[in-house]
Parts: sequence; structure tokens; C-alpha cells
Amino acid sequence: MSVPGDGWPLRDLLPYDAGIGARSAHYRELLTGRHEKVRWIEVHSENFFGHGGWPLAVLEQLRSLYPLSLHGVGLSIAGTDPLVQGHLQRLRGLIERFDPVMVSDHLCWSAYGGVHFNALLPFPYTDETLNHVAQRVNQVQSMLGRSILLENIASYLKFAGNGWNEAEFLNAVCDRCGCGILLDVSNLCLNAWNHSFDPLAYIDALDPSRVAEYHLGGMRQKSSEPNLFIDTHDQPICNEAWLLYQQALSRIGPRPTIIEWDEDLPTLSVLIAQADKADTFLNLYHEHAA
Amino acid sequence: MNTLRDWQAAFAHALQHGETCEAESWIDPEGLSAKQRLGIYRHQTGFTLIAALRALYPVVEKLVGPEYFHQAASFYWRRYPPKAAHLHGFGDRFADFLQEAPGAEDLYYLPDVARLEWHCHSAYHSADASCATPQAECSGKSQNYPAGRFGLHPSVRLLVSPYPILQIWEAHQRENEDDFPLIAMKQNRKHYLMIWRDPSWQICVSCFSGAKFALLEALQKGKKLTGVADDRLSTEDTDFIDHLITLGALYETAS
Repeated sequence: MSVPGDGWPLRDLLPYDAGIGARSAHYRELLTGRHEKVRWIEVHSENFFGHGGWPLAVLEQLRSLYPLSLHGVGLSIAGTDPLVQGHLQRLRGLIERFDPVMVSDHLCWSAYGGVHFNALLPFPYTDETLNHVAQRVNQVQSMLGRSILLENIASYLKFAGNGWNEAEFLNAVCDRCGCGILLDVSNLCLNAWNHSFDPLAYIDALDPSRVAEYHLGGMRQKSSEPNLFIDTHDQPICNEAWLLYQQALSRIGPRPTIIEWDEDLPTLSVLIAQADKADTFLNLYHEHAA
Repeated sequence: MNTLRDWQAAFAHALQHGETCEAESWIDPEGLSAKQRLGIYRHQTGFTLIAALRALYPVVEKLVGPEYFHQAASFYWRRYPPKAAHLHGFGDRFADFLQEAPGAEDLYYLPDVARLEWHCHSAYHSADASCATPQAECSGKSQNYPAGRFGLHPSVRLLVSPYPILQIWEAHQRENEDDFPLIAMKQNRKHYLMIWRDPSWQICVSCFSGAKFALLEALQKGKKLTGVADDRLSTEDTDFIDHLITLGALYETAS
């Protein structure tokens, strides 16, 4: 489809730098002046769906200091309830007001029967669901007037029966809709452990030209189930995820990267140090690629 | 899209009501049981929504204690789940829910404290409007306020309670609860509260007399200032309007 506005490829909108997920506890510190090491920021779109007040005023100030990405958790792109027009209108309003460099959401569903679970929920990857998701992505992009990125979610279950693998499913959605992929390397790492598959094969199966952004976030072993890992965003990135990130940089290439931390927030400097670490790897592979 | 819809119906039922039979047949257990895997999602959903309620109702949580709050919040989200992906409207019926909830009858003022906390949340996210600024030509006693010049700021919320909920709310804002004040609960009077967001984005709560509250209510219903007091406002009203301007609770309309 033809997408008005920014056009493809999305990955050239930002330098290949690492940024941080900006959370309200850090806003004031982020606004004390441009922090050189915060190269760009990402916020959760739905947190700014209010009518007015401090969150929107702050976002305006943040936007004047840092390139901004809007990352959603509630589009329910694989949902079977009708797309929520009010949601899309609010998102479009934010896009018009804040001119983000990226707009993304997740390859998942989150609502059924008018109930929004505020969770990223899995669905089987089949021909049928591919058609459904592609149709919804097209509707969303047409309503928003721009391309979006879809992120792979953390998964705690596998569906019975054969279906598409996720990497191929994402490629196919991108081919049909002209959207991009936000590869959450930590989610991939965790999913590979939870479901015993080879994450490198997944990386190799992704169409690298569609991958426009990486995420990295903390995870935790479930205390009662040592073989299960949960996407908690409550601690530093684990070594295994850093190693997999380097594999992604080497096989797919460097891309803008965001460190996500949502629970038990550390000081801004700890968060920036994580982004700085990602930046070191990015520079290394950028030089290799050059 | 029947099969995907069927999966979502089964999964949603498992999340909200804990009945997993239907959803289990879709899942390859891979070691853990399908029920356990569904339980992870159920736990995560509950965790997020209970945390959202905890952030909205910190004083209610202090009054009832964390255990009761967790249980009430857990019942609440399943009975009144979010109807939008953003959570700004989630929790709007918590006060009514608490009114009916067993086990907290002694805290007869609890639902009104919850109402106050909800209004604080709702004021925080309300629409922006330029606050009216004190101006020489219209401030001062017995001045005529031009028709339609001021309106109540969109963040203003009004609340009446037979209990001293502002005192309770303020007492629980303290870091150190050792110097907790004594609050006379049966004061045999109504407490008229205005909740609003001031120009520096702070949420404020003030208590007013019934007469002043009547003026606030009239303004909230859209009455123009000149209509409230039939062209000329009383001195008391103009003083009050000056005060409201100082508080940042009025905005200047376009007319």
C-alpha cells in the first residue's frame, strides 16, 4: 500500500543510536537540559491519551529536547473486536502534535468483547490470522497516515498444531502492509528459552530490510518455575540478551535501540549507562558495516 | 475470523473468570500445564490492573490496609474491567464498589475518600485552559464581572460529603504518620469540596461554605457570571471570584 507521509524505509529516520524508554519518575531530570547521552526517547502512547495536564505539557518539552518515538500497548492489532476509532484518533492527534520519529505497537491482541486487559496476548500464526492482521495493519496505517512498526511479544505459551513461525509471519505482514519490525531482543531471548528454539535461526529468518528498531529490557526467572522467564522490565539487561543483541547487530545490522525499564525504576544514570552500553555495541557494528 | 475469535473468547474468559477449560485445548503444554501457562497471563493482568488502582487510591489503601485493598481491587477489575486501552477511565466505579463491599462497614467515610481520590485523578488529566489572571479593571469589590468572561476551569471537580474527608485525605499525605492529627468524625455538617489543578499542575483541594459552593455549582452548570447574581454580584461573590482567580480555578473565555 502507499503510505502518505514519511514513507519507507523507516530505519533511516534516526541515527543508529541507543535511547531510553522515558518514564514519569525521570521527566524532571530529563528536562534539566539536554542530556548528551540520551540520544532519543520512547514513551508509551496511551499514557498521553488524557485531555490535558502535566503529562502532555511535559511531553512537549521533552520533544523539544529529544527525538521521540510513540510506542503503544493497546492497539490490539490482532484483536477481533472492531478497531477502536477513538483510540486511533487520539494516537493520530499525538502524532500530529509531537511528530514522532517512530510509531510502534505489538504483534498481539489485548481486548475482547469491549474489555481491555492491558496485556500483550498471544494468538496462533496461521493463514487466517495473517489475513486478519494484515487487513488491520492496513486500516491503522491508513488512519494514522504513516507506517508503523510491530514488536514481537514475550510469550509464555505455544499453540497446539502447526502454524507459521513468528519471524516468517512478521515478514509476511510487512510485505503486505509496508510496515516494519521492532525486534525486542530480550523477548526473543526469553521466548527461545521458554519454548526451546534457536534464536539465531529466528534472527536469520527475519527480513533485515524490515527491522527498524531494537528493544532491550530486563527479565526474570519465575520463582516457582525455573524453566520459565518473564518479561519484567525491572532490572538490567542480562548477559545472554546482550550477546543475542550483538548477534542481531551482526546479522541484521545496527538499528536505533531503546532500553526499557518500567518497574523498580533505577536512577536515570543507571538507565543511561545501559543505553551507553548498547551504544558501544552499535558503534562497533556500525563501523564494521561501514 | 471464527477460530481467532473463539480463541480470544476462551482466553478472555480464562483471564477474567479463571475458568480455563475452553482455552486449555488450544495450548501445547511443553512441560508446564496449559492451566499454569494461562495462570501466568492471568496473574500479570491482575498485577497491572491492581497496581493501577493502587496508584489511583493511595489513601483508600492506607485506610483499609494492603491486604484488603488487594482483595477488593482484584474483585473490582474482574467486575468492572477497563473499557479502553488507556487506563484514564479505569477505576471510576471504585467508590460505589467499596460502598457495597463487605468488611469495611466501619469505615463509613471510605467511599467518599475514594470519590475524592477519583476526582484528583480526573482533574489531573482534564483538558487545558488558560487560567484567568487578576486584572485591575475587574477585580475589587462590587465590580461588575462582564458576562461570560470567566468560566470554571475544566479541571474543577465538586464534591459534597457528610464526613471530614479533606482532613482525612490531608492527614494521609504526610510522610510521618506518627503525628497523625485527631479528626472529629461526627461534625454534623456537610463538607463542600472543590478539587482542581492549579497553573503549576498541582492538584489542590479546598473546603468552602455552602453558599460559595452554590456559586461554584452554578458556574459548573455553565451559568455565566452575570446570570448568577442577576447582573450585579454581591461583594461577597466578587471577593470569592477574585479568590478563585488567585487559586487558578477560573479560566478566561474567548468572549
